[in-house]
Amino acid sequence: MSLLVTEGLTKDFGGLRAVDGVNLVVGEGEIHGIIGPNGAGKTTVFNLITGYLKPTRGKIHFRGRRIDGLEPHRVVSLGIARTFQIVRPFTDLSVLQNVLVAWGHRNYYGLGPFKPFGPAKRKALEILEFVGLAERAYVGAAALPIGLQRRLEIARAIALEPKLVLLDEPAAGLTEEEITRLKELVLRIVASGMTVALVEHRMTFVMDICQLITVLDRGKVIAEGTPSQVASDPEVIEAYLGAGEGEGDA
Amino acid sequence: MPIGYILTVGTFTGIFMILTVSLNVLTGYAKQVSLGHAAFFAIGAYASAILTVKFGLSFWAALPCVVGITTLVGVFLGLPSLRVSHDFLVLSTIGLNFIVGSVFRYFSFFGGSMGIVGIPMPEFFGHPLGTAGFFGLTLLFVILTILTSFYFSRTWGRLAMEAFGEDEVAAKAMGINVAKFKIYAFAISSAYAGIAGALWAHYVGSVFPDNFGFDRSIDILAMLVLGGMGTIRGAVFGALVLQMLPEGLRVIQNYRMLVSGGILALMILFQPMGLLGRGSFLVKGFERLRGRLVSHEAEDMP
Ligand SMILES: Nc1ncnc2c1ncn2[C@@H]1O[C@H](COP(=O)(O)OP(=O)(O)O)[C@@H](O)[C@H]1O
Ligand SMILES: [Mg+2]
Repeated sequence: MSLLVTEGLTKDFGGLRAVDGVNLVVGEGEIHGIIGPNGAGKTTVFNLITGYLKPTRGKIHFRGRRIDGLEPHRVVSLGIARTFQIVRPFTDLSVLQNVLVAWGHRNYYGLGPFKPFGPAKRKALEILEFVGLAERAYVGAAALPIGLQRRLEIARAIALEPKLVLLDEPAAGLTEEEITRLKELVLRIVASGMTVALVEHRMTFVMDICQLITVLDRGKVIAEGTPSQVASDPEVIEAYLGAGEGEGDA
Repeated sequence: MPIGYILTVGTFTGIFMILTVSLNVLTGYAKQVSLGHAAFFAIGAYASAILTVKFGLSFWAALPCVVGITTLVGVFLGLPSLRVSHDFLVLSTIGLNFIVGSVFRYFSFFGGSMGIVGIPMPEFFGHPLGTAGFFGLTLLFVILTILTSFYFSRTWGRLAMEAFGEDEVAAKAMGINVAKFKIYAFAISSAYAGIAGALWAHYVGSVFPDNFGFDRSIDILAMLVLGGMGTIRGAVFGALVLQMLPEGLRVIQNYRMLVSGGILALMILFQPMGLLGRGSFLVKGFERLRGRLVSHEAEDMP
């Protein structure tokens, strides 16, 4: 069953076509990697899916429903959560409160905003436990090192109880040991019933854990397949070796 | 010191406490800096004045209408905040003072520059309240304001406001409808300010456009900033200090604008969290005394 489908997804920024006719299919229970050199349009694809940008052309279907053009908070309520390439923790809040904000997503409607958040603290702690941040629950989010801020972003995404989690370069700035723990965390997220799509510009991380990989270059999909298929694709190798002169008009 | 004088000072202090606690929702939680809070105060005062003087309602019958009117006005006047960034919001809230002032001055329905006079004292079991009774009434509303606001500080709504106040992009990714919550912040803040306005109008007995100018808005923001944005204790404390200070130091009264403006500027420069705000030097010292570095309480939330 495909969870997320984009058809001809296109986004122009003035004269620049950042995303160019992207057809992406993410199946349920998958770990789907999206890779490509810097500036390939990976983050823009996530911004289009999550409602931060409106597509110039193309459609986005999530669980059979059109979602392009919906506001970000609506997309969240339909079951898509995301993290940001450049982390955006609420630095005035504690780690626990950051997760509470996300866990509150069902209370931001109707009379929900006027209900106390206190009873949800236990659940938020469980989520922090899940990502391995429980002992930092009461620390200000600003005080976390970058690696843990990335994990906090994942904790918030999980707290939204999504069907699909979009991770934008979750391994950026992490040490080798942290990357190992991240892989393990992503596997546990999928094991608990969520689907993950993640963006990386480094190949190795993606090769290890993704079942399917989509390769973007200059806004276009230039290859798609299993890690081994993608790794042996000449066009991918070319894009990655930076032999950017060869026209990638696939 | 005559008791009547003390009660009067207490009544005005209480009214300003309601104003600062209400501004705290908008500016402390949702980080929507408003230099136009006196406009909401004015609308509450005028609404109650008109409903009682022109339509013959009692204070008590008028009050729910006043709250309804100021809530709606808050929604309406909060709309510009959806379109402008923080810096421009400050400018547009300054404009509110002058727009609302002009409407009251130039439309005869609102009494023009003659204002509205003869606003009755609230009655209690058929007897008009005296100075002491009115002080008690004000105190009651101050307590209600603090209690409801304290309750709100522990709700999802407050958490959502803190979140988008800091980072709208991240807040949207948490499922928060930022536009809706901004309007909530304006509406809640304005509703409380309306009560303060009604109390003021009925205590003073008359309202004039000049009572609620830009300088009032500066006063209210200065009180909140002095005490500590984002905390109820700070809001209450700031109103207490800045409202009482001129009573003790008579000379200050002639330089009210200078004092308010100066405090506002100096605090923002050197102690933006205020005297009793989160992480202020006083609060930090106090927490160190208690040997507790991180507070888990909602009031100290962020
Ligand atoms: N909001 C924007 N306005 C203008 N150009 C943008 C915007 N966002 C991205 N771009 C441009 O679109 C291209 C793709 O960017 P991005 O999606 O961030 O790439 P990636 O995430 O693959 O590194 C880049 O050339 C970038 O400069
Ligand atoms: Mg990117």
